[in-house]
Amino acid sequence: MAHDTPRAAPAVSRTRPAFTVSRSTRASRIFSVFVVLAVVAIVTLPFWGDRASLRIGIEIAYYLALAQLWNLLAGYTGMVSIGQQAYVGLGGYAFLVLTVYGVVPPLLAIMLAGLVAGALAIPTAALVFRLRGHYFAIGTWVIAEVWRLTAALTPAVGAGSGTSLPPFVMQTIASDRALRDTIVYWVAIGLCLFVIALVYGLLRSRHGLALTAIRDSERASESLGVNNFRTRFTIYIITAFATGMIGALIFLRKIRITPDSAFSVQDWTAFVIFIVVIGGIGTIEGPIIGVIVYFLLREFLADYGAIYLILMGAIAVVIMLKAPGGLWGWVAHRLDIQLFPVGRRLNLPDQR
Amino acid sequence: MEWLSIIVQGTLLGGLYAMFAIGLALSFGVMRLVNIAHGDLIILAAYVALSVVDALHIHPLVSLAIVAPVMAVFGYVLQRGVLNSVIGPDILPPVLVTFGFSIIIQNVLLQVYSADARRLQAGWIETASIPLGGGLAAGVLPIVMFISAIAVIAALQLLLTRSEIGRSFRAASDDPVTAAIMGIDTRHVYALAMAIALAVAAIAAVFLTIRATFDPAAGPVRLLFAFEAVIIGGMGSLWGTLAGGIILGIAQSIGAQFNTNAQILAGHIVFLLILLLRPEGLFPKTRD
Amino acid sequence: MTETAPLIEARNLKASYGDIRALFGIDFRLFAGEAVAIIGANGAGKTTFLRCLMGVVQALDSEILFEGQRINGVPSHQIVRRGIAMVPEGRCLFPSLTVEENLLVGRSARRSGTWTLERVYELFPDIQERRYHHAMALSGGQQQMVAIGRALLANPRVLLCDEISMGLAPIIIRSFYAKLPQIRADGIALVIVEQDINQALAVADRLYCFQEGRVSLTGPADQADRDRIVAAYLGV
Repeated sequence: MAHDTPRAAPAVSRTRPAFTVSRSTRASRIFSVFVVLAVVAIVTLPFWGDRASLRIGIEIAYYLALAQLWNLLAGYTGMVSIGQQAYVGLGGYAFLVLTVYGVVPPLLAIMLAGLVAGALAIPTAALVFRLRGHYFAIGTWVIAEVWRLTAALTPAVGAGSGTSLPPFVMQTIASDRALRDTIVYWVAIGLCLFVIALVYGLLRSRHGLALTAIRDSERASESLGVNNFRTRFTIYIITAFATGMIGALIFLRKIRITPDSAFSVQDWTAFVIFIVVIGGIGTIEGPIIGVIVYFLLREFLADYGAIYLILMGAIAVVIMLKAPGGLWGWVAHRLDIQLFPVGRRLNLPDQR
Repeated sequence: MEWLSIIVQGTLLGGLYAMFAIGLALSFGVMRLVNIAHGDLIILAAYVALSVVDALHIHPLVSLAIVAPVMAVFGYVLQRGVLNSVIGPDILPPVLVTFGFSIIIQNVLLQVYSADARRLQAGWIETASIPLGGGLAAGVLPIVMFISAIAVIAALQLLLTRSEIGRSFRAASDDPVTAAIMGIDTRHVYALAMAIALAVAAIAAVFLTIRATFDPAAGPVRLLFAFEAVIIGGMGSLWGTLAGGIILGIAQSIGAQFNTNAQILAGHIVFLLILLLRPEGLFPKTRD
Repeated sequence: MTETAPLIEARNLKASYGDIRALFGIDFRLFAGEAVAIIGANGAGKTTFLRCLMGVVQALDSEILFEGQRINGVPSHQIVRRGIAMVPEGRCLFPSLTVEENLLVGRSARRSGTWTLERVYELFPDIQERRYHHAMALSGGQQQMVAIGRALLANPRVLLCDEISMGLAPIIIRSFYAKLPQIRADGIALVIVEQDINQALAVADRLYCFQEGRVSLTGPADQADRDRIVAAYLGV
């Protein structure tokens, strides 16, 4: 188990220096304090912010969650999927069906929608895991398209032009609009924190080492006895489940769902990838930075239309070519800090 | 003979899909690069053709004489300048970089040409058809596309098996390090492969401009068709890619009897069936 | 007596694989037309050294000179064009290519000289019969002939032979070494890496013994003392 070594020097000068493996660094402990303060501010936003800021807050929360999940798949497990929009859309449509046809309370429906998405990920994985690497990536996109086209051909959910969430569903959450906004906001924050905790928890567990082993070398980790297929499969299903819940939340906020918007590659994959790559792939801190950069860019460039997408694409390409660790990777490398301690650091005696 | 007509249409359409796919198959075969921007590069070529036709008032098929070399040069520069540095064992950089390019190309085209759907006029060839007997007829354009696909594949096979550059492609594909110590400049070889891939994409693009409308966002669906043709046919075989294109074309022709969405969905479903039942494809060569 | 400059000279050559140091400062010289043997146990750094010469592994702040010019940092395909060719360990034939196509790839270096396809087939008649077969369908010995022929077609000034006897029957090994004089007749210098000490010493003018990334012994082959070699090989 990891622990801090005592500061006393070894008593006998001829003993070999011991290596210690410690998880928490000093920076991360200071950071924890800031995190607590920030969390308090975020949670109390409904009391000091206006409706518009609540809506932006929800959007930031779900983009951050999607980014953490995509990062878990691609950055840590090495499964580069460009088809996660499938589960966003599936979550959204499942939510629609559950609340309208199943008359399930919306907040419960969010979780059930996640379960639906997770369940549908099982046959998907069975198919798409037959492909490797680049072909896996495109295969996931094909699957997402299959779902999009299926939704567009299904009159019961509005076919190609989509449909809207009926008012009674929103009324079930709360009859007062301000209270409703607050509840949805808190659900969003809660989901986001849940996702971050999920990713963080997975990575700090012994699964975490397995994941890094998989990412760093497929063959090597097979020989170490890490059950690749089962690990990757499990992570894929869990990610689909969480993404489905986010999809339900997104639809709850947007009210209106169409196949093109629910399964949009641009909204749920391109932007998410951009966030992760700019922030720093393979780290938990990276997507947090990335989401801030993304929303700032969006604020300033919204008037320029396609230029802002060109710029985002160009920045992502340049970062992948020149600084693959993203902004956080650059900072952490320079300052040698780690705020979410998920790596194991080898402390050599002369570095204490 | 409704069914026969569907099959004939689908088969001829397969020629176009095979041409979409050849570039993808070539770049994966030679340098293990799956270019997610491939579909968008086809659309880029289509818009280049559009500009050439607008400027010079020539027939779209004639514009190929300019569009193909332009795309070939562009492919050489793109590969040598950017993509060569992302080739390697890690799949993240090439997927992300080519995905980034896909977004960039789509939005640059959007800025320059607007989102309007466009199409090029090709005169009589668009509507002419040849009777095949038994009340069946096939369009001249689809027949020309199909014959072009066969010609391109035959030419490429010849290049691969009989020429020095073809040998270099195969050697670099087998073992780039040993190829280098034999004197093959892999940076140049890869760039040439991409140049050829995009020249073929240009041919497919010009046919596309005549056959259907296109807009800046039309790239990704072509990438998926190309990808499906390669997987159905089996990796490592150009003629297999033609077979894959034909099967995809036929599946889509059947789906098209209902509506456009069903057409595309039918293709995806056949692809998934192949993935389920015979993941190595129908005519795979044994290399991975 | 004038001192001729060495064809290849490595001074204090260091190299690593990632974080693992493989060569710790190799000094090496090869003169035109001579045959040098490099012997040593597995993992001693012999193959790493050859790969440094070919530009496959980067040499770290050290110098490799060929014909007086630096070749560290030069890409492999240019090194072979300058005149150093390699028969790689394990042969590394191209599986998608036939025997003849494999040989022709050797001409990618575009150097002119006396080695042509016909001359290679004269040297190794066995492979001429099988010229249109897929390279991997041949026996180990025949594949080795193709690998050597492929390197010869680059018309090099220096031929690096990495463990050409590996996995082959003694009679075949002897036949290869019997052909080496024909190769040397044109003035090609040889660097022969071998675990089989006897064969190597029989053809070599000088020898180097590598041990854990360092040169543990060097000198003329005919003055090599058996006991000293064993000691240098094992590092005792």
